[in-house]
Amino acid sequence: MTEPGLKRWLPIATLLSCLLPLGVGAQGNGGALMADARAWLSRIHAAASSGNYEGTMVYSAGGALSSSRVWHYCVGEQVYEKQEALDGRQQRIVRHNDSVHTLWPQARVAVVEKREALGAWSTTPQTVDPQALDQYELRPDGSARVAGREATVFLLEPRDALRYAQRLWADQATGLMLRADVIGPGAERPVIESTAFSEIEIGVKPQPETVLKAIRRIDDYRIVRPRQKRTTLDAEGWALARPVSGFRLAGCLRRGMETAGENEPVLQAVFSDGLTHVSVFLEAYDAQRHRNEMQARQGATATLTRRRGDHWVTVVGDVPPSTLPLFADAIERRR
Amino acid sequence: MNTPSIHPAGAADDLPDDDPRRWLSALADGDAAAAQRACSLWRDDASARQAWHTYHLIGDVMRSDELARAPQRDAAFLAGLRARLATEPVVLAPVAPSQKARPRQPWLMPAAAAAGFVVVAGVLVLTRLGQPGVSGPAAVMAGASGAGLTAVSSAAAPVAPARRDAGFIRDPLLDEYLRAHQSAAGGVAAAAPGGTLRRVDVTVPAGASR
Repeated sequence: MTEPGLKRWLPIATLLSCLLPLGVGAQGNGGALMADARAWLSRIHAAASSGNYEGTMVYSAGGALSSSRVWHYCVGEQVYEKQEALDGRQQRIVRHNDSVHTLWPQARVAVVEKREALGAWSTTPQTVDPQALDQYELRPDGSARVAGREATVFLLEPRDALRYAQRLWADQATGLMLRADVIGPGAERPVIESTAFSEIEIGVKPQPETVLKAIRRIDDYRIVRPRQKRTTLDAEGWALARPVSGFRLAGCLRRGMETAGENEPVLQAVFSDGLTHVSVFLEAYDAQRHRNEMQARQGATATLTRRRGDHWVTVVGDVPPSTLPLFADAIERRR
Repeated sequence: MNTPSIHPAGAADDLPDDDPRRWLSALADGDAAAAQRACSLWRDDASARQAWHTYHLIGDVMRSDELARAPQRDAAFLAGLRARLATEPVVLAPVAPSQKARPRQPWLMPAAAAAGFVVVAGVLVLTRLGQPGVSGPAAVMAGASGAGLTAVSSAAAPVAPARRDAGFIRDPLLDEYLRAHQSAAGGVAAAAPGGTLRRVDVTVPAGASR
């Protein structure tokens, strides 16, 4: 099945890989470079959403390693996607356009979410990427080989200490992102978190049936449908009193939390700088559940919990831990 | 140890029946059944530690002159180890309520050092925080992770089994926040690394165990 796909892609891939060095080499003036950077980000985005690929993705952070198998098919306007965890507990995420099933086969639990609530948050590359380039400087960083493919490497260097640097490896032939490292500050530039394809086939024949099969037989699963409703910070009586530099409110959602009790919806406000995200969760303070304020970190994702009067604030973000208090302190009850 | 005997087994015979040091002696002789009693004794009683050390010193001397070194060497090593442990930065710093200025130092430490136990110790702490049934301080020091591990698993079991996958103990509550965050992050910018290359590392919501 993969043979015809590869053959079909080969001429395009060859053509593109010939053209690419020209684009990357155009560093004559800043404008051209910036335009090039934007073009690359758009290309990465397009490849991720419209490509047909299957691969094994490896995630590592702090000495922990986990991998998952990924299928991504695009048939016309229809997008089929499946991720299956290969380590630890069985878990599958199946996405068909805006419908997302998260399955735990051993526990026989399925979380079914309509992406429409979140989908509206999704912005087109044209509006997202320029914003990211306000906060990060995109630098070509040579080329390398990832998962057996030639990749162009970029370094996204933050312009302040509120966010992490990231190094991206984009497939030279298709633009698909093959690897992404989150890089910490300091002279040693430690890699905090790394996600990469260890092997991938791009341009495979789409097989939507293999994706949909996974959600056909879930009659005996306990189906959980989180309640989600789009809202605004203002309508909920909250405001970010002091904006955090470079971060814009990307969306606000009132959602039922399985563990927070059925009748205790949690407000989730998502802030984005175009590349990375910070979620601020707000809920009523409950002495039973909210015992200790704390900070934690796992890979590049930091968490902070804090009590603010009658409310409990949880901030989760793929940012340095020192950025989180800025959100926790700035979020204020307006009524 | 005031009755230095040539052999630990001899010591046991010399000791009165009710002397708790018998357990130490038995353990030193390889009696596994004595392990629990001996360990608790070892933990609670300084003189028991002394006795334990003496038993082994005697054994060492019998085996080789090389091992018959001044006990100060061991003491110095232990003291040094404790001092090093004490200065080890605590990666997870629970924040005292109403205390605005928190020590930031733990986060500034080189990630190479932090990475080792951020994940394990971090998740431990989260678990304790998230389980309504678990009381006690949230601060689980990295050094105490072994004890914390057992406590968490057993205490949490009736509510939602604490999972241990690849060295992770996950808290269902915070997991849900992480999951919500990840799914939102993917929705906002698919071009970001989180888009295509997002990890799949979430556990079942707590309710799933019902």
